[in-house]
Amino acid sequence: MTRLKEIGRRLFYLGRRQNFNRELDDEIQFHIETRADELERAGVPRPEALAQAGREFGSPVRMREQTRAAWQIKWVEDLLSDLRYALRALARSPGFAAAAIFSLALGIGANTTMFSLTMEFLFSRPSCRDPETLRFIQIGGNSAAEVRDWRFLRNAHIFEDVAGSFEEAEANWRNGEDTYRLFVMPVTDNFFNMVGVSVAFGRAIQPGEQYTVVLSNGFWQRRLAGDPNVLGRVLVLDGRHYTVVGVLPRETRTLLGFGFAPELYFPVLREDELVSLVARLPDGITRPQAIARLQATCKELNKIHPRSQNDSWANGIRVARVAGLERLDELGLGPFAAFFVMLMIVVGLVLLIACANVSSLLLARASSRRQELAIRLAIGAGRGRIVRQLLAESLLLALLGTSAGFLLNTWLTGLMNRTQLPVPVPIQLLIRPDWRLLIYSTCLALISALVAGLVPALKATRGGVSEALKFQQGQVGNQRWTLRNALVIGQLAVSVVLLTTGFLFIRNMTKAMTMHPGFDVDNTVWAYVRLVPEKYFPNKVTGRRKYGG
Amino acid sequence: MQEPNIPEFLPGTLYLLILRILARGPLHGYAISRRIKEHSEETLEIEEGSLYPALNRMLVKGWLSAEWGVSENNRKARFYKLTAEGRRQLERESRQFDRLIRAIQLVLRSA
Repeated sequence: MTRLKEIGRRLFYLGRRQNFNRELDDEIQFHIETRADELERAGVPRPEALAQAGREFGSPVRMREQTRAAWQIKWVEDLLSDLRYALRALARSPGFAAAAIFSLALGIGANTTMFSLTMEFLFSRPSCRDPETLRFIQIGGNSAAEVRDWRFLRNAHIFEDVAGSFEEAEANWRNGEDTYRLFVMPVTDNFFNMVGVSVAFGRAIQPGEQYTVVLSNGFWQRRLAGDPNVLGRVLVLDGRHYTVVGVLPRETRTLLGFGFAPELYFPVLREDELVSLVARLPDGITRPQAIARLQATCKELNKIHPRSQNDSWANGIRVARVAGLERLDELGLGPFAAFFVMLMIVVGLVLLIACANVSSLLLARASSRRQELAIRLAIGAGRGRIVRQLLAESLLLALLGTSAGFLLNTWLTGLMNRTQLPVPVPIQLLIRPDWRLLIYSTCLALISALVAGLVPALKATRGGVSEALKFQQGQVGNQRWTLRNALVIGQLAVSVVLLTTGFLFIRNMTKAMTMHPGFDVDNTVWAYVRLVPEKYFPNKVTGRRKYGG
Repeated sequence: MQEPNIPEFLPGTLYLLILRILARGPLHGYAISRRIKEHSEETLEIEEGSLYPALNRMLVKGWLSAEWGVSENNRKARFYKLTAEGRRQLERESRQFDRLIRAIQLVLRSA
């Protein structure tokens, strides 16, 4: 704690150095004058008194130096002065600076964007209360169970609570003369309260309710033009009248994740509708315990609602987390994660190319700055000092490049957030820059500064004073394996790998898209028309209703 | 750290002296060095080149606080004042110093 306060005081000093120096001068002045006053009282004439007081004081320069040293954090001040020098050096060659920053910005922009995307897809937290105690559960090897099975599990009280929701549902929304097909999510009446999804305004669906609907923010904004009086409005869905009771906040991430965002939520209607289950575990229960409880209850369920072909509900039980790394493992999303790892490697290679690019630019610049460096070496700068100086320059480049890359990132992710992906599921990405991205890009900046800058800096200062002062390009042309050659070769190799992978990827895509399905596709039209099931098979529906609870 | 130019001056004693002098009330740098000189019957003379760096190190450590005021000779002066932390440090250091002196005396008497 005292250590922290001390650092705070030192930082405060750093901010008011100019003031501090003036105050120190005032203090020295006061000291000398007070001593002179004293001497004067003892009978020494003023000018002599002042001179003597000054002599007694000793060297104010040394004293100032030591007093400042009490406050300084040495390396921070050195770094600041190195960065200032680097800024001047870059300002002198704007073309070089622009080229280097541009290539780093592209590399880092691509990299951080892929990072944001990966984080959003694989590690985003669903908008709910305590995701740590929520688990997806599966019984009988099916991703969904019927509503009555949910009711049975819930009434067995083996978990704190169980809720259900169906992600693959659609509904026809009749709006005036037009009918739209919407992606909806029927939920069990306890879903909102149990999962803890908050609403932006209005209220959530309450237990025992039917024919009420909660809107996603996107639906409210896009389809209802953000109507402020939307609560109480009636929507006609599949021919039934639903009353709007609430609207979700803009930033709502569903339990399923992956940007999946249904447009409407309403309570399930029938006992034979399908729902996938989510449970809230009581405190301190382990995964094997949860599975054991489920198995026991499923055996009970077999007696009431037997599965066809003598299969048991107790088979194919799965309990998986709703967030974090474990979710990927427990849901078997390994290959999906591997795909993102591959993409990260690809953008990593892009960044490597950018670094190599900057590295060769720095090398070329170092040889044109030979004289400057030689003179600095000659007047006594240590090699370490000059390497640090050159590294500060690449650090500055990397920081500027990263800032530009960060802008690119926010622009690209903003674009992704706004774009409706051409896929048959409602995907709405909610990528925001956060602390993870900030840490990641800072690391990228430091790494790229080191990767791009270290070798050129070491090379530029190699050989010492006498070598450098010869003002010769020297050895470069004679050697076959110079650094610059190696850089070009490396860059070429990585580019070829990237190009090949990219090309193969595109080729596979086109192959997959033009694959011959075994029938004449040229004269075939595929149309998707959703018919409300209840309207067309009345007998079947009443037939199915008979097992309803 | 530079210590005053007095033979056998024990390391860290300068802090202790300054803390002790300031325990009676705030003083400016010049007065601190005068007091030390007077109280030690002219034996201890603190060089200015050591006094001010030491004062600043003590500011960094949070033992002292400094404030600008008007001196007895009507000049603008910087007054140093003991903080609560400084008071605790004074107690700690004087205890340690007493122990050290007693130990040295014990050794001297036994020999």
